[in-house]
Amino acid sequence: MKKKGGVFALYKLFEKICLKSFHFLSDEFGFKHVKTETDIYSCVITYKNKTTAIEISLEQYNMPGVWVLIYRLIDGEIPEYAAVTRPETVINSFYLPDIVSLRSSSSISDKEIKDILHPKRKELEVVLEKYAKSLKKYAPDILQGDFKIFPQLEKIVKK
Amino acid sequence: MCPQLFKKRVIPKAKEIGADYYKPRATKGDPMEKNKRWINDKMRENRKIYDRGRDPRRTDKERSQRPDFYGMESDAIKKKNYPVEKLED
Repeated sequence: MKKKGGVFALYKLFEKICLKSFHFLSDEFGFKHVKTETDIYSCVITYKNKTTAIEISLEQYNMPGVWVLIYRLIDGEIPEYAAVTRPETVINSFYLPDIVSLRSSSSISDKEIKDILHPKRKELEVVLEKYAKSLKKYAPDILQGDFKIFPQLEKIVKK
Repeated sequence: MCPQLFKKRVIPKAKEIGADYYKPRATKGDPMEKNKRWINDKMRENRKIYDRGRDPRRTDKERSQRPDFYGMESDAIKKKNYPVEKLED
């Protein structure tokens, strides 16, 4: 994929598939696609409703992969990403795989993409569809502003 | 590191202390190799190297399933026994 059109063509494709796979956020949970930020490092697609934000990203450098990060909004805004996990750190965002592993016996990853630096269209479709379904299945409460699970997730992240 | 960490933690800190960081270009070639060449060039130029550490939020398993740019840089630095300054939050 990337060989033909470069990394920005890949990000364009990622955005297209992402908007299709995650359309349920708008249809069922009142989210709006508020922005797509693309640069050489990544493509980050952000959805937001009154309580929650979702960032779906494809990273091609540093730690390449497909990532879904769910935020609890603070005063209607996306809070700073807590990069450190000291005991006193308040964490307002969690990755989808952490939620899935807490709520089920299964795990979720982007392992269907054989070469993450050269993902194929079909692989992206499969992974994004899987992430979208998991978000809907395992985090409907968070999507509606119920963050009671966050303290448990915080314990996992701070281990 | 994941995008959140690199853009929200590494780049701002680098700008704060006036340090450079790897800025890939959308050109052909293996991005890992290009990054490796960059870190080796910096050591050849005797530049001071700062280490922001790994993303503490992701697991070793996740790291093992994908290209590890941070690990590659760390290995290149260790191979030359080059000094680094750790940057804590």
